[in-house]
Amino acid sequence: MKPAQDPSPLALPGPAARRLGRFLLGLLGILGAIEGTMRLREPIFQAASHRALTKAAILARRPEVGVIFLGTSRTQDGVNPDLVGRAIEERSPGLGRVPGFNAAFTGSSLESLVALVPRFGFRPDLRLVVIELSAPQIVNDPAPWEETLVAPKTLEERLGRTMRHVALVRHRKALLGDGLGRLPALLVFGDALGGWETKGSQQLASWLGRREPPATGFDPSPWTPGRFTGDAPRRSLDPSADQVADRLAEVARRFRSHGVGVRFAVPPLSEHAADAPERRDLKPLFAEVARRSGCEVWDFTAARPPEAFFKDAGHLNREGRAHYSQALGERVADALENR
Amino acid sequence: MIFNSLTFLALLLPSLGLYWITSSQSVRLGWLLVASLVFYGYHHWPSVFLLLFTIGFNFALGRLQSRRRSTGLLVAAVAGNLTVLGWFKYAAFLAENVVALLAMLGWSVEIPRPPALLPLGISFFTFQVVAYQIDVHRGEVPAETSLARFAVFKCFFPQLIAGPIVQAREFLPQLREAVTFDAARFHRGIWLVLAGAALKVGVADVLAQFADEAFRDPARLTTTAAWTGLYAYAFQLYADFWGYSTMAVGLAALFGLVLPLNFDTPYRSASLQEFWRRWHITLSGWFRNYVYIPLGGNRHRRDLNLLTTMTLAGLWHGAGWNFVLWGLGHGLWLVAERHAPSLPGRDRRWVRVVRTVLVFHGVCLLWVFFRTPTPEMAWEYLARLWPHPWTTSRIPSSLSQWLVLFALVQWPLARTLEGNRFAELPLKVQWLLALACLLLILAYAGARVDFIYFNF
Repeated sequence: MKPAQDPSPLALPGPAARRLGRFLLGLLGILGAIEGTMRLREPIFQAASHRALTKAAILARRPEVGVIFLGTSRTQDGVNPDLVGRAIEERSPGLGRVPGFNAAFTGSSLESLVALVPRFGFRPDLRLVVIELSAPQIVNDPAPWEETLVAPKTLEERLGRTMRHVALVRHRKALLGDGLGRLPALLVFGDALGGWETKGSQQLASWLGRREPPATGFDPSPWTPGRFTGDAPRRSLDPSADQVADRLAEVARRFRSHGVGVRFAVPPLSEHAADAPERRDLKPLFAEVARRSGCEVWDFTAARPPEAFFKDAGHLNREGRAHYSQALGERVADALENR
Repeated sequence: MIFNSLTFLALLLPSLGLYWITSSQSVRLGWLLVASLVFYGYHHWPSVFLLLFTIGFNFALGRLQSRRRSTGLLVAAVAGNLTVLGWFKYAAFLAENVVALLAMLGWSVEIPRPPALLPLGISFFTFQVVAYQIDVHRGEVPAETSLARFAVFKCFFPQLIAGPIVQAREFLPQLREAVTFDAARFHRGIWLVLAGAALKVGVADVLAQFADEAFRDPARLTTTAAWTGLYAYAFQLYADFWGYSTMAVGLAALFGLVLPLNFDTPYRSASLQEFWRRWHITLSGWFRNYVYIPLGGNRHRRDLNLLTTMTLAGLWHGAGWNFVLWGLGHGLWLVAERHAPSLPGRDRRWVRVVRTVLVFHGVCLLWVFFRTPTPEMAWEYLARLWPHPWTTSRIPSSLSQWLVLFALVQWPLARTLEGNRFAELPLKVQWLLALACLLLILAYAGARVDFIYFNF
């Protein structure tokens, strides 16, 4: 092969080279700025990668929280802590202002509940935790929010591990659609949120200080829950339900060891969910959870709210949220009075 | 090694540095050859020997042809290459069908099967060298005199595994000249690599989840799930192969070399003929130049030539009856299109829109044969698309958003890939586009799905 000489492979930069240089420098500058921002605000970007961590991060920024609601989307959609707080104030003015936070999230599972106890529960100002008891809360698959790191074996895996030193790579899940959607709540609206606001418009409204109106013409009679108490007779459970009852009792015990009261709540269901396990199959479990934990279970599937309060078989709409929050607020007030 | 891997990136950057740091074209060619062999052997190193054999065989026959132009030599060269391809790709299929045919005739025969190994990119590099041998025989391309240059032409890593199928007349002259650093070309290369990777990682791999789910068990699909699954596959395939080809062209540009673009927004075609001018352009060109025209082209037996060419194109994609049916379907459609009367007003805008929608859906329906492993499963899937009775299920919002977004973005994106259009955009727009691609790649990286055309 005849060697050919290139006399000036990197000659004096012409307009094209200058343009290339500006493009590369600018791009590197932008990436550097993003990397710097991510490193400075690392907890926020980490929290954006999962809805549970988002809730935990927002909760951590709240100056004062007396009641926390844990559960799935049923609780997330159904409980406005501001309305609960107003109901508490109305029923028991002596309790003063009890600020609440809705830490429930879609896809919550028993595993995530157990894992989140230390993050949600161990605040000195916390007085009561209301934990959702429902079929999805019990049977949902665990949703891991931290990537499992395995020892790298291949060159590709080793390079992948090395790349995790870059914050942009480490928290890349925050850049996915859902993660991006959580960033405004974490960066801007956080302090003002009650946790129930899933839509951007709801978050913006809370941030601007607009409050949801309370239930109009609240009638407590259709909202009376069934109750299971700690002195309920022992019920036999199948092995898996037995394990669930034990784990929930353990969750309650851990909260109580920090001086936090615990109640369980089964959210209301529409008549379209006539065959839902909460209506029949899970009743022995509810009773056993109450007995083993010594904490009351409020079973709102026994309540008969109007169908117009539901957006689907298991989720309340805005009006339903107002009424359920009122009903729940009255229960919470009684529970706080009796502590 | 695949383009969307960290290993590739880790080897690419020093390779580029070493390539441009020297001013000797010989050293650059040597370096490109080493890099290409490492790239190819990383996946399955014994395949490198097959590649080296093919290089030696074709270089020698090319040289022989330049000394003595003979049909015998051409036949030997083409037959040699097709035998290698046939052995690895089609022998098992052929044996299976011979056994089945003999069984139908009442004879039970056992034919030993060749090893189930398909060297990566064998269909692509075989076609490349077959074209080279024919061009040398026709006197359209001089036989290459440098083994190193020929080897780089044959195994230049950006196009080795899945094209574009590079013609000797386009590529070899570039290797003979001393490559000089062209900032505008480098600039374009960066954009093409970024855009291609975003198409692959951020679009194709995301849509793959939905398409795979739909094609896993067609029997349980509702009508809406079958259609959305098919749309997901149509766009997955497009984004996957378009992304790969775009990255290949971009990588070549980073090394100062020019490869042809392989796609030109094919789903905007208003006829199937137009579709094949826009989809996998280098393969269409290959079949036109080396199969269709030698068969007689438009001069005589046009319909038969079309059917034969398209059926062979189907078979090129894979050894299976589903691919044969896919190719035959395209052939029949092209024949029908040629015989269809020219309607008045066919060039009016709204007529073109209607035709585009129809052609897109026709192409989608034929993709069913392309995606399913057997014709039986293809028929089953097609039956689910039949809207009677119409059954519905919830379409994941992420899928519908992704499909609409990609359908809208593909045209402006394609425009930025042409010539130096990207570098001519305002810098702020360039940064925005590059950043969007980078974030898309970062956000969705990790699935590491192989490129679909690696299988061919």
